[in-house]
Amino acid sequence: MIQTFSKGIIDENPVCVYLLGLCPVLAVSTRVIDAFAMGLTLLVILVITSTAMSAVKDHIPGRFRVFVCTAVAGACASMADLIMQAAMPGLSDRLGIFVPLITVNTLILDRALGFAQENTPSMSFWDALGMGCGFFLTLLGVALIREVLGSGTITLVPVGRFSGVIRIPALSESPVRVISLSAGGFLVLGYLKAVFDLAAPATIKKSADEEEK
Amino acid sequence: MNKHAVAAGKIAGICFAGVLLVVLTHLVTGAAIERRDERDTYRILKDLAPDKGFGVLKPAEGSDTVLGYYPVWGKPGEAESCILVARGRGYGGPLSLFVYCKADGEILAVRLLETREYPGMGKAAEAPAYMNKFKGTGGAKPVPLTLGSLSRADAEAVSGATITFGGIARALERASSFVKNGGIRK
Repeated sequence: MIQTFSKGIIDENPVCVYLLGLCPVLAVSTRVIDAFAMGLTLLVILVITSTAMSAVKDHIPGRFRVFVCTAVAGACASMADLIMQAAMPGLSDRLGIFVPLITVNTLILDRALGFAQENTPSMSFWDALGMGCGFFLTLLGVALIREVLGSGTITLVPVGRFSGVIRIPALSESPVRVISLSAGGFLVLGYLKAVFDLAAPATIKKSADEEEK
Repeated sequence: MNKHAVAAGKIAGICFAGVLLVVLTHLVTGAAIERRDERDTYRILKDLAPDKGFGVLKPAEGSDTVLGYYPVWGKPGEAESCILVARGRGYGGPLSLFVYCKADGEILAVRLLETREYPGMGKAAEAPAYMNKFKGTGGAKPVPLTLGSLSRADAEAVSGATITFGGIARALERASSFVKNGGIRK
C-alpha cells in the first residue's frame, strides 16, 4: 500500500517521468497560489474518478469504460468549477478553462482506465493519491521556480495585513521575464525532467533502454 | 441483447447520478455566485464614482467593445455620465474594463478586472495607478494609443508589456468614441 502510494511521487512521477497532464503544468504555473489550487483540485478529482472506475469496472463492458470515465471526471470537474466560482471567484477566473479541462486530463484517463481496471478500489485509491500528490508537488515546484525567477514574487493567500505577495529583493525589480512565458514553462519542465532522468532508479532506466531497443 | 440493455442501464444510471450531482451543486452555489457578482459590481461602481447613483445595466448596441453601460446620476445640473462595461484583448487573453466616462467621451476613471496577463509583464496593469495615464483623455485630449504619446516615465512603466497596453488603450478609445457618438442615448 505504501509502495503503491509513494511510487507516484518520485519513481513514477506522472509529470517528470511519464510526461502526463502537461497542459495545466505549463498553463497554470506562473503563480504559486494558482498552481496550489489546480494541483489540489486535480488530486481530488483523480482520486474520486480512479476509485469509482475501479469499483464499477466489473459492471461496465471494456469498450464503454472511457465514456463512463469521462462522465465521472466531467461531473467532478463541473462541481469543482462551480464551488470555486462561489468560494474563490478571483482564483476561478485565473484558472479559467483549465478546471473544466481536467475532465480530459491524460493523468486521470491513464490511471482510471489503466491501473484502476486491473486493481481493487483500495489499491486504485492509494495509486491515485500517490500520483495526485506527485502531480501536485511537481506543479507547485514548477510554479515556485517560474514565479520566483519570472516575476520575483511568491503569491500566497492574503491573510489579515499580509497582502499574500512576498517580494524578493533584486529579482522583483529585474525578473527573468521569459520564465513567465510559455517558453519558460517548457524550459523549467525540461530541466526538471533531466534531473529526474539522472536520479531515476536503475530499474526504470533499464526498462526504458529495453523499450528503445 | 439483455446483457447490452443491462450495461446501457448501468451507464445511464452513472451519467444520471453525475448530472444530478452537478445540478445540486449548481443549486447550492448558483445563488451565492449571483449575489457575489452583484456585490462586486456595485463595489466597482462605487469605487469609480463615489457619491453618485447608478441605473441598471443597459445593453450597448452597435459596438464590439462596449458590452453595456450603467447610467450615472449626479447632482442636478451636472453633466451626463455613465460607466461602460468594455472588453479588450491583452497578451494573456481577454481584458474586462469598467470605464467611467462623461457625455463628451472624457474618461474620468478606469478599473481593469483581474486578468490572465503574465506576472512581471502585463499583470502590472491591474494596479489602480496604471490607469492614471488614461484619466482626462478621450474628450478634448486623445486616448494615448502608442508608447510615443506617453510621458517618458509612463512609457518606461509599460515597456515590456506593450501588447497589454495596446489592448487597454484601444478598448478605452472605442469606449470613449461610443459615448461621443451618442451610444448611450440611442
